[in-house]
Amino acid sequence: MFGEDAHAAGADGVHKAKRWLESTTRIDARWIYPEEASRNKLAYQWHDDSTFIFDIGGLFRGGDLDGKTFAAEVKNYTAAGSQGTMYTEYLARCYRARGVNPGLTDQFMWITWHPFSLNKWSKLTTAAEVRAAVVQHAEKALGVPPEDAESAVDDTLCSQIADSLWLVVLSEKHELLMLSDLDRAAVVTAQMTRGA
Amino acid sequence: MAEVNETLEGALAAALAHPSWSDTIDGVKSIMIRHLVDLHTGAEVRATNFFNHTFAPDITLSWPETTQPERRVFLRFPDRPELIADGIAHDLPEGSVVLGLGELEQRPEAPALAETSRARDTLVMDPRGLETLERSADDNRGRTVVTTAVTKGARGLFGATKVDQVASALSEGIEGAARADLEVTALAAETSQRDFTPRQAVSLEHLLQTYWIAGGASATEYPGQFQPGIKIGVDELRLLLDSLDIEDMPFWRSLGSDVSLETVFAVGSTSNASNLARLIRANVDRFTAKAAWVRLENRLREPDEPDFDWVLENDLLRLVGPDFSAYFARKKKRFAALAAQNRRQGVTPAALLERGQGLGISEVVLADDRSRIAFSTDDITEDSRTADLAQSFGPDARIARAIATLPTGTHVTIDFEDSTAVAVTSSNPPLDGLAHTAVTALVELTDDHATALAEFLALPPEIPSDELLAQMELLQPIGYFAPSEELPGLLELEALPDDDESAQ
Repeated sequence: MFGEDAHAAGADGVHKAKRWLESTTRIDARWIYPEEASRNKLAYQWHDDSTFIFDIGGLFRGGDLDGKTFAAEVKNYTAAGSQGTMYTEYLARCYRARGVNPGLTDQFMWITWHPFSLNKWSKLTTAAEVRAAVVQHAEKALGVPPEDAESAVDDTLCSQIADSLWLVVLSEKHELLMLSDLDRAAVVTAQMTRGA
Repeated sequence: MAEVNETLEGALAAALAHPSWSDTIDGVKSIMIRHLVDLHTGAEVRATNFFNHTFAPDITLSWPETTQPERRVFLRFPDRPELIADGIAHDLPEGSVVLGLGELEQRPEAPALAETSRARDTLVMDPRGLETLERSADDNRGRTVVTTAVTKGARGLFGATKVDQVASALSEGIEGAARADLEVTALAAETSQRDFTPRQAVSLEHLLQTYWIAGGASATEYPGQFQPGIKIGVDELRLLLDSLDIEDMPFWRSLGSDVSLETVFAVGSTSNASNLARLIRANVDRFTAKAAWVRLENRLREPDEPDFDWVLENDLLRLVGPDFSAYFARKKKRFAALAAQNRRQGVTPAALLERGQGLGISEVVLADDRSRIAFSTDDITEDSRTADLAQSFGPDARIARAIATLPTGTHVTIDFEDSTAVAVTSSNPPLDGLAHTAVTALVELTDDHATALAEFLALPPEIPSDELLAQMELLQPIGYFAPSEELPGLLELEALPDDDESAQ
C-alpha cells in the first residue's frame, strides 16, 4: 500500500488498536494520532529538530500498572513488511522520548497484526536491541556523530526501556475474545462508581 | 483563561493546545460541563475520570428523584465523523450523548452520522449546536422546555442549524398550542416524534396537549399523537407554570376554569413566579380560599419591583404588599402556629372606624384588660354608638374581632389579635373579596396603596368577568354584543340601537 491508502489503513489500525486496548478495561487510550488535537500530546523532537509522533498515548487502569502512562506504535499490517527496520527506529524513539518526557512514557507498546523479524523475535525486547537501535540512530537519538555513539549511550536507560517494552500481536479473532457488551458495561459502570 | 466573548470552539482549541495531558483534559471537561450546566435542565452533571474512551463516558447527566434515565456523554474529536458513527452503532449505549470537540454539522459525513445517531436514540451535538442551544435558553422562549427536552432526549445530529430549527418549532409550537394554532402545533408534534426519543416525544406531546387543552381547545382536535385522558392536574399545572413564560392573560383565564386554588397549593412551588402571578391575577374572582393571615413587615424592594405580587410559598399563597404579606390557605389552622407567634393587641376603634368603611362590618368585639363586649349593628362605621361604646372603655379600648361582609354576601371573621380573616361559611369566598377585606381591615394602608391594591385585585382589563360574560350571553341573541376581533374571546359592549333602528 502506498500514499493515502496506507495512511487510511494506518488510521484504521490505530482505531482498532484503541478499541481493543480499551475493551480490556485496563487501558485508557486517551490520545490517538492522527486526531489532530493529539499531535502535541504524542509528538517528540529528535536531536536534529525533526519530529516523530507515537500513534497512541494513554494510561493503565488497575493492577500494578495503575496510572502508569504508555506510548504505542501501531502497524496495521497483514505481512511482516518493513516492520523490522521500523521497529529499530521505534526503539530509538522510545529512548529519546523517555529522555525527554519520562512522565508520559512509563511503558512502550508495539502493536501489530503480523509478526516480524522472527529470527530474533525473542531478543526484540532486550536492552542490547535497544542499545543497538540507539547507536544506529545516534545523530537523532543521542545528538552525537556515529563514531561517538557507543560511549554516549546510557545503558541503564536502555535496560529500563527494555523492561517497559510490549510486543502485542493482534488478529481479527482477538475482537471475538473481547468482553461482551453487557459484561463490559458492568465493568465500566463499576469503574465509574468507584472512580477507579 | 477564556475571554468573555470567546466561542466554545475557541475555548476548546485553547484547552486542547495545552501540552499537559491532565491540564488539557481538565480544561476540556470543565468547559463542556459548564456549558451543560448553563442549559439549566435540572441535570446533575458529573465528570468521570475517563477521557475520549471507546466505551466509558466522559460525563454523566442524571436527574435524581425522577424516572428519567441517565444519559452518558462521550467527548469525541471531529477528525473522522464516520468513526464517530461507527462507535455509536457498535460501542455506545443507546440513548447516549456525543459532544463533538469540533464542528460536525457541515461535514460531508453529517447525513450518515445524523441517521446512525437517530437510529440509536443518540444525540450528537457539536460546539456550535451547544452554543445555539444555550442562546435559546437565554432568549426566554421555552427556556427550560427546549434545553431540557434536547438534553434529556434529542436524537440525531444537532449543529447550529438543527438546534435552531428544533428550538423554534418547539417554543413556537407550545405558544401556538396555548392559542390553538393548528399549524405550528402540528409542526412541533412532528418535530417531537422525529428528533426525540420515543420517551421524550411522549413527554413533549403531553406538554403540547396540556397547553392545547389549557388554552381552551378541544382535546380531540389536537394535531399530534393524541394522548387520551389528559386533564389539568397538579403535574400538568406545574408543567404549565414552569415551562414557558406566557404573558397572554386570556390563556391563564382559560386555564382557571380547569384548576382551583387547591391545585395551585398542591404545586407547592414554581420556578416561574411570573406565570403563577398571572394565573392568580387572571382568576382572582374565581379562585376561592378559606382563610387569610396578614403579617406586617418591612420589605426591601428593588426599584422596579411592583407594590403587589402573588407568590407561592410551600402550600400557601402569598400576596406580597408594600409593607405586609397576606397569606391564603385552605384552612385557618394552617396559620395557627404563625399567628400565635405574631399576636397583636387588636386595633383601636378609631383605626377600624376609618379602615372599615365599605367592608360591611356588622359586629365587633371590644376589649380592654378587664372585659370584652360584642356589639352588632348594620354597619359599625355608620353607627355613632360604636364610637360611644369605645369611649366607655376608655383609652385602652381595642377591637379584638369583627365580622365583615364580602361583596358576595359571605361573612368573614376578622381577628385583629391573630391577624387572620376567616370565612364563616362552608363554601369559600372568591380570593379578590377575601384579600381586599383582610388587607384593608388588618393593614393601615395609605390612600395610594389602597388604590393600588384595588387595581391589583381587579381582573386585568383584557379579561371580562364571568358575570359580564353571562350578561352578554343573555343579550347576544338580540345583537347588543359582538365579539371583539382585537381581543379574541372578549366581548365588547356596543351602543344600544335607537328605537327607530330596532323597529326596522
